[in-house]
Amino acid sequence: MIEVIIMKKRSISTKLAVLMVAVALLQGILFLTVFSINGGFGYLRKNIATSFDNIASSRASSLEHIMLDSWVNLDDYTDEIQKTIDQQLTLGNHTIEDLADNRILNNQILDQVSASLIDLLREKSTTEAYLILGGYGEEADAIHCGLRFRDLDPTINGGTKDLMMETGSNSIARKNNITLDSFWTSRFNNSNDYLMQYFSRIRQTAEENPSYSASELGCWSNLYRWAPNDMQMITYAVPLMSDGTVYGILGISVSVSYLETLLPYQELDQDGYGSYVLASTDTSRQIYAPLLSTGIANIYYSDGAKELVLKNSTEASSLRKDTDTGLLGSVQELNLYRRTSPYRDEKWALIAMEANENLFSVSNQLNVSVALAFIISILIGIFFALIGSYYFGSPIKKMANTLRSMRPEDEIKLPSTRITELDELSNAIMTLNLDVRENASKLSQIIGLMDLPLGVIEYRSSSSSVFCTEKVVTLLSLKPEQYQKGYMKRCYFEDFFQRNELLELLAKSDEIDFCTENMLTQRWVHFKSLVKADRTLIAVTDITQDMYERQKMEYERDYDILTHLLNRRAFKRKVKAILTDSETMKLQNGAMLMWDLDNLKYINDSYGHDFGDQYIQKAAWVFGRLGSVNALVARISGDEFMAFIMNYETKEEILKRMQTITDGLYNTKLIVPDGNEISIRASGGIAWFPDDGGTYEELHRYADFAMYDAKNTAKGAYKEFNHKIFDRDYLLFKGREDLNRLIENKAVEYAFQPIVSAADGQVYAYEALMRPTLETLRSPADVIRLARAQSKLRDIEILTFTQVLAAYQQHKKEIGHRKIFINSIPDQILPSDVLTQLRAEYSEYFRQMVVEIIETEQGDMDLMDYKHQLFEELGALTAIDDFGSGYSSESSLLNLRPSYVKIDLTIVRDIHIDKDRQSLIHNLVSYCKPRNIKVIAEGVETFEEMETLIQLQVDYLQGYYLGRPCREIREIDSKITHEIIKGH
Amino acid sequence: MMKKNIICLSGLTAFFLASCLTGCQRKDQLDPNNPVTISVLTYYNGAQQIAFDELVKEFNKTIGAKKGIFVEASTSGDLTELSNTLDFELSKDAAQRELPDIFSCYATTAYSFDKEGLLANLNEYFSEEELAEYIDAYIEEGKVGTDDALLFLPVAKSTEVMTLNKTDWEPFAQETGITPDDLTTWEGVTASAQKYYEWTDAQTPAPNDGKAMFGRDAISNFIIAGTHQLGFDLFEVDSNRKATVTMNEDALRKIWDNYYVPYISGYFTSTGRFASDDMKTGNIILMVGSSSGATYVPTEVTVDDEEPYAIETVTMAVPDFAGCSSIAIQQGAGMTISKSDSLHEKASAEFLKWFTDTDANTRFTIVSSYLPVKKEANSMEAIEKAAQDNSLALNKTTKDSIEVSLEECSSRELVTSQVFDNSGSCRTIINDALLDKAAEDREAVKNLISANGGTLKEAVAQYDTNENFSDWYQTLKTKLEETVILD
Repeated sequence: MIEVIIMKKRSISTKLAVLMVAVALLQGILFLTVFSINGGFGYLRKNIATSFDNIASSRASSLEHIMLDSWVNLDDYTDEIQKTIDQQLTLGNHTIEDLADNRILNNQILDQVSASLIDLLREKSTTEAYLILGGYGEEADAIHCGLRFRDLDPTINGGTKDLMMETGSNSIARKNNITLDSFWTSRFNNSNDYLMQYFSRIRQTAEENPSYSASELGCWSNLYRWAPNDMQMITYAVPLMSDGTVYGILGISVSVSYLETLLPYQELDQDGYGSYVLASTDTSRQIYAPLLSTGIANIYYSDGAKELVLKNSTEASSLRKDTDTGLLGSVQELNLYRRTSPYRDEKWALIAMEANENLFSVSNQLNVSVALAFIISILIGIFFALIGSYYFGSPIKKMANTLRSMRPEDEIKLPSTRITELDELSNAIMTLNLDVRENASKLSQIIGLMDLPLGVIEYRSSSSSVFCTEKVVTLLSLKPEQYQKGYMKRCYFEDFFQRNELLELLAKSDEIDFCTENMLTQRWVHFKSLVKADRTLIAVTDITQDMYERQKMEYERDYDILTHLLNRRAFKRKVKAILTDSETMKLQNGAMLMWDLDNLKYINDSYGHDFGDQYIQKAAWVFGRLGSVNALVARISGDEFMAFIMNYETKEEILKRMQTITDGLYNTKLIVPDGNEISIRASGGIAWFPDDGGTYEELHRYADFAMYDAKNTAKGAYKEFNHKIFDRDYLLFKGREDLNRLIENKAVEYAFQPIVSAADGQVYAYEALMRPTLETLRSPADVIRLARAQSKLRDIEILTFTQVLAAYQQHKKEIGHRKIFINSIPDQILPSDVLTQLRAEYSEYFRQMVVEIIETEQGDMDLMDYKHQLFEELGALTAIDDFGSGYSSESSLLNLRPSYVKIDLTIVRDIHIDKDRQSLIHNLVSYCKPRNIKVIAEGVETFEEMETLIQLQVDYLQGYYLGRPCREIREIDSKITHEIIKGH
Repeated sequence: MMKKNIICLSGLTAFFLASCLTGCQRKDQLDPNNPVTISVLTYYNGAQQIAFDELVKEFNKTIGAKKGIFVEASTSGDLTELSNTLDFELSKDAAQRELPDIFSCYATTAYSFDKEGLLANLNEYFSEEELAEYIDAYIEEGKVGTDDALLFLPVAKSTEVMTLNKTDWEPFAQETGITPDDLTTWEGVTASAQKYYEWTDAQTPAPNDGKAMFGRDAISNFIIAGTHQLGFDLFEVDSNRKATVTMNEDALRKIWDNYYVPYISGYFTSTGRFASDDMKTGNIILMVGSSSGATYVPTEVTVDDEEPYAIETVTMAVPDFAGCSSIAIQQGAGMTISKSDSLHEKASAEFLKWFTDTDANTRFTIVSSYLPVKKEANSMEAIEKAAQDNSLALNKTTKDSIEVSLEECSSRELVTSQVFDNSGSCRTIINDALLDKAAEDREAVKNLISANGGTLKEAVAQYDTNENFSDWYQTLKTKLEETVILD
């Protein structure tokens, strides 16, 4: 919405600017047009040139006036002086010729004319006035008597005080009270070539034109100096003649500096760029020889150093141009000579000169001014146009910027623009913002109240910051200083995501579990991202608790608590997984290892289970050293460990590892309470992958077999699996497996066979008989055999007692007060813990229990005695089983003094026929009766046998004839009861 | 509506700006394409003027052309004319004044112009380093403006030297036994002059036609330096450049006795513009004049309408009063820059820098026997080398004059005229008071003799009196006292 407003306003300001600029341009063009229609600058240039010309012209005429009317009009003085000379000559009877070499005469004359000469100087206002006569004869051409007075400031008439004598008699000077100048000489002594020429030219011209008047023969000189260090002058001289003979020269001279004051170049140009050049030329009027110049042109034209060639100029028709310097000149000719003058071809001109750019600087300046004014006015117009549009546009822009710079959570406060419409707009925005904020804050308050372990991130690729709820910072362990008012710097945020490889979340909708890497706490979070067009929403949930529980569960599921090795199930799963992927994993040279701790049973028996556990733990620790990289180690059962190792270069290496384990085990000692150190010993087996097998089951079985083999042949060592041996010993091995299974799974049931009283034919007791439930191991005899072979008899013993007692409990009602006979395995004693447990659980049943003991070996009498006492202490009775066969003999009867004696079925068999058997039983009964030892006959299969036994006064009867072992508690057939009662 | 106003306004502003830009640009910086013309007014004449004009031309063609400065030099012909011109300008209304950009002046002139605010402060155009190249005392002399602002730059310096017409001196010396050593004190000069008068008087049968031996220029220098040497300056100047007259009668009497008395006796004279003019016409054989007058020192003497004869001259140090330590007057007009616009002032400063720099300055001073103003240039070796390098003829008179000047400047106390309100007028008053009085009374003495036919001594005695001195003294004192307090 805001963006739209800005765009729209911008276009307004642009339009405004364009319009205003156009107006400015239009005005400029109008201005130029009017200006050029009015005549532009050509008119101005023409005016300037004319004015320049006019100034020069008027200056020239004033100069001409001074020179002609004032300076050179010497006629009066010529006459006067000539008259004086004539008088003097007449007075002294001299002729004009005498003047040539009579110095005294000359000085006399000079003395007389000095006043006239001073008057001349005064009147003409020139720098000098002079009179040259003779006096030194013809031969000394350069030396003449004469007078020359100088007035350095001719415009001021100061009497004689400011006059100086330059040449002439000292006495004349004194007489006239005139000081001598520094270059004073008493006579003209011209060493100056130019002056010599100049004077002789005047003489010559005069003598060649005797009819001309003096004024017609007057001539202007060029610049010269009287003496080398004296000032520069020009002079005008006329010859003094008498009868065609020139005897003297009268002249005036004007110093250059005086002339210069007459040529005020400043009048040409107020900035002083004009110059005046006084130059002589000939009739061609092409080449001018400058005499003197004032102003800047002095650089070029002083001293007549350079000729001036003037051509018509293109710049202004009335002006001419110096081809060399490029200066423009207004040439004003000075008519110095009369048309009749012999010097009439000598032309002088006053040339006013100025450089083109200076002369026309005003018009040029105006040109530039107008152009600049045009440009600047347009620029100013544009400037104001931009300012104007900025003025209108900027409050809106400012408003937009303010809004843009604000975070959503900020309260919008817009400055007043002082434009009503805009202020209304901003008020509306502020109100809207307040409402939105209120709503938003409700939601966040609710979330806050809930204290959900939930954070939300809103990421916009266009924004420099990322919105996060506060929870996100704690959940992700972000730096709090990077978080401000709900926003996180985008770069920091992206950096964090990149570091943790979470950037995918921003790109596509996804879910990731992530563990924060924090030194102190480990936290699991769950990211769920939702990518929209311009932003990504991410929900962050704390799943640490769930994760821990899951991990704990997994651990408990997969690991053995005692050893912290894998348990059987996990091991199996993992190994299976590996083997399934063996192809892709390029699995090679693996092995399934299996160990069985050799002495556990002994330790348990001798030192108790705590030490057994320690023993296991120490062993596990050694096995655990196989590591986890390329090995999986598990505790399979109580004393069995398994490991699967893989990816070894060669079998030898694996064997080496195996040996290391063996050595490790050997070096690991368990210190038992009696102070002995017991080495841990285990037998191991190896099955090779893939040589021996590819599946877990195969490898397991073969390793197991190899271990079994080792255990049977060389305890404490390990063996590799060997197929031949396996084939040979498989069955035995198999039975072992079954037995283990049986024990482990308690895969036995008990059948109860009634023991019937021979007196009243009622069931006196039941014997619990083991019935393995395994398909592969059905015969209790096999069980016992295997158990014996594998030293598992005690397990069977425990199994028997626990199971029978459990069954008893189950059938308690049916059994009633009747006794239960249990077959205890000879030379096996229930572990005390089992006993304790049993006693705790079944103590009330012991009194109804009769433990059948058989004597196995001669030396076991003590053990039997112990058992007998043990059970008797429990309140149970004992019976000697299989009396009359094997090792159960009279001695046991004597030693143990049991409560019952069970006659072995081999003696009972066909008793009704065999007298020996009858007498044997008779004797036994005779012996037992007085001693209150009840006699039970087993294996009664026929009525005759029963009848005979009853006759023999056997106390109780047992056998198929009376009742088969049965899972239920059954009474005997009433027919049998009748027969028994009848049999008496 | 408002838009239109803005545009109109901007148009006007633009035109104003544009005009200003094009119009002003000429006046800001020196521009070779638009050279600025500056006028220089000097009092130079003769060789000095020619040398100056040459240098100006050279400047215009070289540095001036390069930087855009055109110098137009003019001269008033002599110092008096210059003073008149300047005084005339000063007397005009401010608006009417046409001051040259640069003009020659003395401290006194500079001071009175500065009071009117007409001079540029040269410190703005010359750096400390640049000023340090000049002889310190010369720069000090130029610091006469407010807060010791430097108002004028020394361009050429001179002192006074004494020149003896050796040719005409020798017969006299031989016959009377007087030696040049007798000319080292004013008392000695006065005594020798009397002897010379008597000796020349004796040459002809006519009585009282003895000749003056001595003449000098700038009587004011004699009085100012003389009283200073005698320990009594004429004025005491306070920090506001206000002076009080501190004339000492005894000191002035000594001046009187060594100028007025010999003058009315005919032993001293002053008839030409300069003492050199008197020497040129054989009126005197010993003169004191500016060391810069060497070019005017005559090489020949023309007596009346006689044929000139060559003479040999000797340059000597100016005498002192007996028993006083040696001093030398230090003079030489400097040049000031009038206040105008920065462009003209800058251009003027550029010219002055060039003109006072060792090379140009030495060339200028050599031909006019001035002393250059920079330290490095102030030695005979440097001057001779400059002459040689520039193929300038350094004639004997000039060389002697420079040598003696340099010697005086280095070994004597240098005295300059005091600068205070109306010091220029005071100087003229002092000068004229003694000279006019002497000239006037000399005529009276001559008339007295010719009328009464008495002896010179008798005639002189009538004027060489305490009363006459006192009158003169009091008159002068009163005049000066009136002058120093003039606005």
